[in-house]
Amino acid sequence: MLWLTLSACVLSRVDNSTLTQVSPEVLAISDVGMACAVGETTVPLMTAMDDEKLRRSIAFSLISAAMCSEIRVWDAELERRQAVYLAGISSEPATWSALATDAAARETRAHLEAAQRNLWVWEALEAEYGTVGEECPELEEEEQVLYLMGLASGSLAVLHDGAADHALDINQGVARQVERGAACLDSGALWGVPGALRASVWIAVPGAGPEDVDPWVQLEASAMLGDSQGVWLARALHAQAAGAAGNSEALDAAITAHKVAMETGGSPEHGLLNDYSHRTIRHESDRIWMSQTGHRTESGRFGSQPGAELEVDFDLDAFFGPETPETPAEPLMEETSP
Amino acid sequence: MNRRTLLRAAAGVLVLAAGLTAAAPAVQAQDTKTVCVYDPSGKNGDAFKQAVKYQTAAAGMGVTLTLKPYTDEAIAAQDFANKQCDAALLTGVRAQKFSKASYSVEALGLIQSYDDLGSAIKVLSKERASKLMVSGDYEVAGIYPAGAVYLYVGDKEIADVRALAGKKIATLTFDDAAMTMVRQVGATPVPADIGTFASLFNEGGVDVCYAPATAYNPLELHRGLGDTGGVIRFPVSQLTLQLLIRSEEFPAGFGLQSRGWAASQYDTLLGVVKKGEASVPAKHWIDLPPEDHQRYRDMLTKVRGELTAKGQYDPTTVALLEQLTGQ
Repeated sequence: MLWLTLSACVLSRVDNSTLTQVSPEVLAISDVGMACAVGETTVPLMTAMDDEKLRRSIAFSLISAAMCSEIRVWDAELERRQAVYLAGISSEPATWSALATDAAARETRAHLEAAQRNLWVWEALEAEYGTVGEECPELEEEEQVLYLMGLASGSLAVLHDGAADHALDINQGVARQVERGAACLDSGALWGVPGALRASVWIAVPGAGPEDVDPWVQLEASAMLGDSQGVWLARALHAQAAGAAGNSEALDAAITAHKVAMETGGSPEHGLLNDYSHRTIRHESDRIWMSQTGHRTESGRFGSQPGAELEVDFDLDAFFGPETPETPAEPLMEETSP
Repeated sequence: MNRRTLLRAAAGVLVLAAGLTAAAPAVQAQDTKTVCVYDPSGKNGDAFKQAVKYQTAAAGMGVTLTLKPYTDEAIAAQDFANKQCDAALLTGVRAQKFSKASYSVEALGLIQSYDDLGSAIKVLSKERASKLMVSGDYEVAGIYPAGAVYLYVGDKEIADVRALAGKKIATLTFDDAAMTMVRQVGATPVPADIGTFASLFNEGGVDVCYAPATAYNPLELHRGLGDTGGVIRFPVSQLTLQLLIRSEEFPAGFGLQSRGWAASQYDTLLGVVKKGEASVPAKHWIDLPPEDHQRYRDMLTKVRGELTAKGQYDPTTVALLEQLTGQ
């Protein structure tokens, strides 16, 4: 009831043009948490206004709202992995096993929510521009970003639905549609993301890609392009694809490259995309750390493997010679007490 | 050397410790080991923050730690020596009372790059090097980077080591190595401490002081540099923080495990150091020509040799690190 009252109050003061102007600006917020909160708040408002002109704005807000679900998925997944890890070393494995099962249930529910929100974006995209993958739509410059995000949402909808036991029964063919739709966009003008999106589909869907192109090479090239333009979304797709495919070499490379890109700094105009991308790549790192150590990537250790050998090119055996009793380092010198 | 300056500098940036300390795990007195943590900003500084992080890691090694902040390093070292605490986090120059080997990482002119410093810390954390890290009752349980120490000159004309003769250099009284170096270049040491060296330099009481680049902003050393001075981009030594333990108070093998953990933190802490260095404006860096570099290197090599011969540095560790760094 309170929600309805508040909504009515806000609706009386927020007109169409406000929402049309404000929603796309959400993408400039360099804070996924804030953007997702805005998305979750504005989608019901805009939907209630039932205005055709708001369709694109709703899509932007849904994209932001779907990021909330993504974060819930990640957190539940990490909690599940943590509980599994602790079950393996604890004297009370049954306790941790129950917690792992609980986390897994929350993870599945979050996947379902993410699938639904991304599906709504996909449906809004097709309602606006027609069936994806048939004909390339004529897009204004500012529409290209929305179209691109919509394609990414289609891909995410399929993935999340699969993780939610196909609860929404989303057509698996959407992935191939996404691939064809991405071919309509200029990858160079969109930070390598269309190219990375296509390559991700080629990797995930057997037979979807051309035989003469190595998808991993294209993925890396696209991600490098994005990094050089200060937008990290293609790199996030690179890391995600590598994580999903179990390609640890590619995942290490993606994480390392992202660490370098962060030191250079991202494009300030694309704050939300970069924050989302960073969180996506960090999650891939967290997965590894959680499974091996029981905690997320240690602060400041992003880019390092947990428990990595302290490799250094120096032969101590050659320096010290054979293992024999040696003169110890000189103990306390002049002062006996500080 | 002004080794506490980095800590003071970093404290100006970070506001952390109260909450982190509150988050320390509950402990039982009989199982707890106490660490005397030197940080000029107490619980609000970078060193204490690192100690809190270490507290978590140590719990995984089977040791529960209580952290006790000290803003006076001499008292922290004294309390450690007097068994008021089982471990201490100190700068290398203070830690030399407990381990000449780990202090040798800070030897004048020995380590010229952060890559070499990282390698040195990793090598010393290896099991084969453990004998160097144990000294009587004491053991080094970790070495952390805290920034290269640079010379700050009030006039770029005296950046050449030969021009330092006759100049006044603020020198910390408890740092024998620095005193030896100042005399070697024919300069006049002006006794200073942590609280006075920056004002001595900024107000023209001395011509030169030395500190990590992270001291530049918090201590307003730009005032002493003015339009004519600069920071010589040549690491005179490496400032480090060192964790010392009294071995008998800890489980067997703890020191080695702890050194490995500390070495794994190198890149993280180096990031803080590099941010501090990036904060020095380009106009205030002085890049010496190669021949001037060589003169500094020669001078410091000579001083290091003298100090090693006198027992200020551990000869085995110095030899190891000279080999590691290709000197």
